[in-house]
Amino acid sequence: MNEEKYKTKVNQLKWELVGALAIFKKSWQVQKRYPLAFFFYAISPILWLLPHLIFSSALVGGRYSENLYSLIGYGDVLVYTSLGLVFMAIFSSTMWGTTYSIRNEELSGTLENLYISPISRYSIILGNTLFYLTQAMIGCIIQLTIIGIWYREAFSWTNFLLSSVFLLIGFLLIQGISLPLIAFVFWQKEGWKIILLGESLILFITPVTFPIVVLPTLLQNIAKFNPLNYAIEGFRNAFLFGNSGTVQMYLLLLLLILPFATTIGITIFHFAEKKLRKKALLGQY
Amino acid sequence: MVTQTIELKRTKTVILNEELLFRANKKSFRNSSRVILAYAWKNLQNDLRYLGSWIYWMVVPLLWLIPYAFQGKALLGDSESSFFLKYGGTGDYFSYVALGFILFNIVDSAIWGAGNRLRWEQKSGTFEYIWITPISRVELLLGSSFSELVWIAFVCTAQFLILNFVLSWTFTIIQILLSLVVIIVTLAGLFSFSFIFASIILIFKEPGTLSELTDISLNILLPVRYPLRILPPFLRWIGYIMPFAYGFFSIRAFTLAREYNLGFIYLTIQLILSAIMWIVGLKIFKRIEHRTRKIGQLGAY
Repeated sequence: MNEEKYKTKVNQLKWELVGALAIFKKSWQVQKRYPLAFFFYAISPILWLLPHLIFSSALVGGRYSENLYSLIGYGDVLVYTSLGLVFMAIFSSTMWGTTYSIRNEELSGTLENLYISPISRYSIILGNTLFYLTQAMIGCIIQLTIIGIWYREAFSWTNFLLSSVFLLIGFLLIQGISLPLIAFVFWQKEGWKIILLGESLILFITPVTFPIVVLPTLLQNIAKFNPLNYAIEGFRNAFLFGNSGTVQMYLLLLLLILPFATTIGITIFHFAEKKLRKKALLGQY
Repeated sequence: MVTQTIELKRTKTVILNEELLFRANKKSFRNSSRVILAYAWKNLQNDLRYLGSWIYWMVVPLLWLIPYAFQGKALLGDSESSFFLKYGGTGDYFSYVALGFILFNIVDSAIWGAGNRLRWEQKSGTFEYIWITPISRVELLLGSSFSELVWIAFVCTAQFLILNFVLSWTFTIIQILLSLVVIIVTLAGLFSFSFIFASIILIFKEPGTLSELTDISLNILLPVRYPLRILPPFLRWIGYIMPFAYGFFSIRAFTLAREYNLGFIYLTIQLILSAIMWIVGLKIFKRIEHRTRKIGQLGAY
């Protein structure tokens, strides 16, 4: 009996995955119909990095900053800044992608059909998120290749793999953060302005282009509650310095935060979606 | 007798209709400005329905500035950069970036607002109706640019005043007035850029991607965050031929560097380049609009 139950569960999961992959494939097929968008996403990772990197370089009038070296023990502004920006690019594109996964279906007029199909809502979100993730990964690979070339003297594959663990955890963490945002967009329909405002505020307390130590004490204390802080610092430290006590501490903290954030995310989404369906707000523009 | 009277009345009506049509189609400054203002007012009425949006776009871009201050503190440990002093006319990099951000609002508006207006009409389903009205396409574009002008002038002035208060800028009235002149001249450049951008949108139909691509490219090529001297020569020269670049140069020369003569030279160059861009923009738009109509792609999505 137990074995049968187990088999049914596995089959169910298999079909959910098939559903998610079908949505993933559909999203890529739509994307392929817009070659200009495809071209843009191929070159945007470099274009997006450039103004920030040129600004860093203009500030110090070169590539090396003594002040940065005295703060974190590393002085190459280009590598330091671009590592933060790579992480932020993944965060931003998957967060927006996941947040708008269901809203985009609503706008395309396909949401009702998807909702009555025998797959979970999470599979719809997963399929769309996988699309945005693969798109972001293409950019990430291009960016990391450039950083690898800049950093070729001290580049280590072990450090790279360790930093990739932080990228993976960061991605999963973003899913937890994005789930309540999906519900928010569902409810507010055009809630992107509030999300953008939230993202702009989070940027103050996230060490993308600067270390947290330069912030005023109050902001430093607030930053301790920002999980992105540990993900981004862990990613950068692992890439630059390899395994260390700090990296292990960041990893442990993230592993503790991750299930907590995901559970809260799922609970809020589940509750909000149920409420919205009850009020018949689903599929409204 | 009765038949003759009816015939006379008919002839009179025909003459009257013809005269009305002639008057309606007659190109005059008064007619054109009426059309431009009517279309601009329609757009503004739409925008005014979302007052929160005005405040939002006044405040949020200023939030994006703050990380630059922390970045400077981390990389320099100081509020002055010798590179900015040598090539940007001021060592105060944060004020340099802040003024760049204010002026970039105008470029952003040309891309996202005026340039995309036709595409938004397409999406609203009102494009074909507007397009078949007996008015010039150029008047439509001028109308959309004019509504953008009102909106962006408000945003730029408000941001300038907020930053003036926060950063304790000590600008004189003359400096502020000269900055306003720069903003107005840059806004005139906005019109011409909108023509070119609207033409590209009519061909490619992908306003989101195109707008992002243009926005991000101009962020690199214009002196928004850094002096153009840091760019490789071939990229630097693309920046130098854009009229917007001289808006950035002159506003900084008038305010931060206090070099008025240099500021006026930049302003003159900007005026000349804007005039050239106007002529080129208009010609490109007319040609592309004609081509799009010929191949029946005007209302296509």
